[in-house]
Amino acid sequence: MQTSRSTLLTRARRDARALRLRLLGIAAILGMAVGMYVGVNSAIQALHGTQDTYYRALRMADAEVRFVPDDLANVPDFSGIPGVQAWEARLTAPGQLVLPDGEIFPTAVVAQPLPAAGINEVEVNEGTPLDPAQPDAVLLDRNFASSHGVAVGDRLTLRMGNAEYALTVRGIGVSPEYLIAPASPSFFVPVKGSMAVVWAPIRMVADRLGFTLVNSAVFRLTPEAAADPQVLQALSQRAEGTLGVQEALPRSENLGHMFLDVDLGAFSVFVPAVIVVFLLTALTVGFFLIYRWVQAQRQTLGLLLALGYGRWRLLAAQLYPLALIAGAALLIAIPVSVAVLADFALTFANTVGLPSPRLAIDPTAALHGVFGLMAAVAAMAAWPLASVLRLSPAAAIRNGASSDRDGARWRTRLLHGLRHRPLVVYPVRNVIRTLHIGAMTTAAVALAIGVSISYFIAIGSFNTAIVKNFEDDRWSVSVDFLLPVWQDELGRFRDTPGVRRIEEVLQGPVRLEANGRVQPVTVTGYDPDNTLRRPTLLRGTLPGGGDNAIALEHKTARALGVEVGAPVRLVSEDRRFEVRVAAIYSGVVPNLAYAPLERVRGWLDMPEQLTGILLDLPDPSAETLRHLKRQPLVGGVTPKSLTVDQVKKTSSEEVEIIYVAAAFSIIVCVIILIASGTFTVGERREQYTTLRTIGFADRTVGTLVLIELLLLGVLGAALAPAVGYAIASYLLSTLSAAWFQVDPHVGWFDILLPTIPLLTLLPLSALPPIRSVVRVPLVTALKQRNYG
Amino acid sequence: MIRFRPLALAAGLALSALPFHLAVAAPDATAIVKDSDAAMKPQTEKTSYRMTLLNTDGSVEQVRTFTTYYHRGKGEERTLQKFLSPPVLAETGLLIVEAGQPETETWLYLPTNRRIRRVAGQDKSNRYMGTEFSYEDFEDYRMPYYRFQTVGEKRDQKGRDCWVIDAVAAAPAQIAATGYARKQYWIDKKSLYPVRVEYYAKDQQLEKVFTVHTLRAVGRYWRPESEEIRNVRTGKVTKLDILSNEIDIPLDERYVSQRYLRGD
Repeated sequence: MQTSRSTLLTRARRDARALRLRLLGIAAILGMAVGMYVGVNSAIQALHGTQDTYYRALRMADAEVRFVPDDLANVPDFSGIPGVQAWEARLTAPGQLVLPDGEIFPTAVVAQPLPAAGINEVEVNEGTPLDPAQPDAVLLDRNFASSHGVAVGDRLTLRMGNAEYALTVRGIGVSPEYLIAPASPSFFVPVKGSMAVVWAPIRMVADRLGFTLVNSAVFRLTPEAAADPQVLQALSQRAEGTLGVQEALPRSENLGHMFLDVDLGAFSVFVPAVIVVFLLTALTVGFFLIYRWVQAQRQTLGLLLALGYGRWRLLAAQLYPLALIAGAALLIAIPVSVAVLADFALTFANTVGLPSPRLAIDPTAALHGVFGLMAAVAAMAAWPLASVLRLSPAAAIRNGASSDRDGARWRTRLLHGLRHRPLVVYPVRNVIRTLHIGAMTTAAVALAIGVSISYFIAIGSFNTAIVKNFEDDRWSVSVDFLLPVWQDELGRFRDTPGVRRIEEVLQGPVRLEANGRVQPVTVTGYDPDNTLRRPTLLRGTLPGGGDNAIALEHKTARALGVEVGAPVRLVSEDRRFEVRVAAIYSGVVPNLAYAPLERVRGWLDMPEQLTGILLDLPDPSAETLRHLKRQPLVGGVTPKSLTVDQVKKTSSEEVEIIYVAAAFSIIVCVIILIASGTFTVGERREQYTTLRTIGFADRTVGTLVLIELLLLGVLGAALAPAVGYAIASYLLSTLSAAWFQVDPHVGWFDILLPTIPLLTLLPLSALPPIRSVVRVPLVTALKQRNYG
Repeated sequence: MIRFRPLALAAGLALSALPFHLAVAAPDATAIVKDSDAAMKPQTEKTSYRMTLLNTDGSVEQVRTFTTYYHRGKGEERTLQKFLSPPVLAETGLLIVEAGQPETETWLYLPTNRRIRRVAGQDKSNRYMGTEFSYEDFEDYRMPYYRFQTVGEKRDQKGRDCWVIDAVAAAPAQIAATGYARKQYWIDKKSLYPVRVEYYAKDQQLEKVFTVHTLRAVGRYWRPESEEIRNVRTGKVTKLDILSNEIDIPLDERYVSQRYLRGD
């Protein structure tokens, strides 16, 4: 029995050796799929893990209540609220940082009490922590410091309110609250170096004021309390007793937190779809290979069955090559996952200014990958191997190959039409005779290239949608004020050369309530008669000047469970308004809502005030932008073109992955064609021998094989755009539900970029099958006497 | 009741002589308060102050200067207070509009956020800009919304004979807004000026004491030269010295407008 087992194993090894290239091909596809899955998921985990690590180590606040600036003495004690572990009141205020070279940057100032309660701590990377005895020695955000070459010991000037502070940089660090480069809330795009964060002892301000002015309370909660919206409500209510509460925000509403969540979430939408398609391709090819392999062994298997070998023992021997596939796939998956992890995680972190993540393969993703791999191998082999169990010796010994020669009338007519083109008619006949193999090959090529095309369409559409969001707007420069200004202060902006129009913008925090749910939003006022903005409306119409109505971003509407026409309650500090949802739109910035400007002024109780302006100022010169930036109270001047460039830059890490995926897809296609060609050619080796015997040159025989594979490859490539579009539509619909509306937008580049390399490499895929035919000496082939 | 608004007094004695003497004859609390109110309020007034924040140990925390503008119009009185120094506080202002409504309208402007914020009723008991005053302390007697009761006659530390009158919020809005269980006014019989005010917290404990140190005649009104509010619980003091005082001068209404509050 031992002998028979080793005989079977020897035979399986021999077969596997003969099939090594094909097995390697399948292993490569599976390995890449698993590697991509594990790598991307590990990268996303690593990025989130970095965030979590900083949150834990530096004790990120679980909640924050923001209120109108008030004396610390008026802030109530929150300690008694169940779930509150620690809290502290602080001042967060906008300012301007003047660098030694005179350049001015908008700045977020966080003035905190010392000793602190240990919430939103700053990790000092260089220098020393804050010292209450030195109120003018501050810490500076590491992204800003590195972007502008600011070092410990440098002296800077901070303008805040009516005061100017001469500061010394005591340290450079990072806080969980500003973990990524600070983003302009208007555009949700982090730009390193565009905005500074300064942490200072609260005494810096209090000493000058004569009292401690605060406008924010941050809380560390128990895990249960952090997850309970009632606790946040209780904090807000306690604050409302003595303070003008503007916002009560859970940690998830932190701008940096939201950006990471949304951006990585958007990318992770692609991952399962990418992997599924890779696996489908691998399954198709693998199933095809193993099925053909089993078919080729039918006679041998029948003979062995007749000799008394048990079916299960025969089956066990067939598992050997499968084990090889799984093992090789794992070996390939490891470097692929490490490469994808490192590339994606580091590029992303660097782009958005996140501290470098600790690169580690996520064990859960790895485990899923290994199980997925095993499942895929089992799935591709299940049906062919089951046929071994069903096989009777007699049926097996008979040649079970089905005849493909029963042609339909169309086939006959097609071949008749091509009878004068022998180099075409023969490959076409071959394809037609093995139509199911050809169809599978074509489908696999269409899928593999289609996936690649879908990535390009999806990413292209994603970028186009974001860019279009801005380009549809008719403003060209956005000016954000550090503090609200009054309408009568706008004269200096109207005098800016080239300005065709100015639209006033007022933004402020409010709370929306509906169906027992609460959602904090930033409401933005627009000119209802002729706004320079163009939100992408999904339903309804933008409220007009007289409407007591609001336009909600679609996720906000979903969170509140409201539709167009529904009433919602708008709460602004201690004022409550009943308003109607007039429109639902899709936007990049989460939790933004639009309403007519005067209505917003009423809600925010800020008559005649504005927080920014949009300028219709075509092609602003650098001098004009500098002029705008120099104006009092100007926090940021953002040309639309710069925002669009940054959006493109931010998504570049996704594009990089897409290029890698496209390269994988092309490799997969070539492997599919090699596998298919080698099989079909192998099946017809006798026929090629006959052609060679009757005088066809090896080159002509090779050309026949090449044309057959070209037919399949080109047909697959021709179908790929449709497949790609379908996959992209699915991916984008998922993305639209998760973030903002993205419609498929197909460009020639999206189709040609993966297709042209494939078409270029197609001839290479014919080389192994051609070699398998022509490398056999004619004499040897004739001796096999199995031709004609 | 701190007189940042026309802390007028009995320069109007002649004017208020009749009610004053009536009050002497029949010391009805409401009548005394009414006379006191009338004796203090001119048509317009502009006053400059020096404010000194004193720590518990008597050390100076900060010295500030500010100006108040008062204007009495048809059916409403407006008082606007604006800080001049230190620079970090300059332009900070407070506007109080008394229009005979259950709630006084109070608006605060902070250059820190460049917003004119309406101080809601429940916030009026809040401490004001690091002083020992609360927003509520800037309101006048608010006669229709308080119940007054004479509790006796006493001589204050400066030797002034006073009526001692308790004021307890009576109107629902006032009950909700006030941070005090009661206030006790010591109204100088001579000037009808409230020269001492004791503020009792909700727990009935004495919380703060406002004292007018010296009074002087300005035209037909009495005005303090120096006054202070002491927080009995913390020992901290906010002291006010009047630097200049102009009464019944031509005063444009814009000085008591929201536009002027925010720095126009």
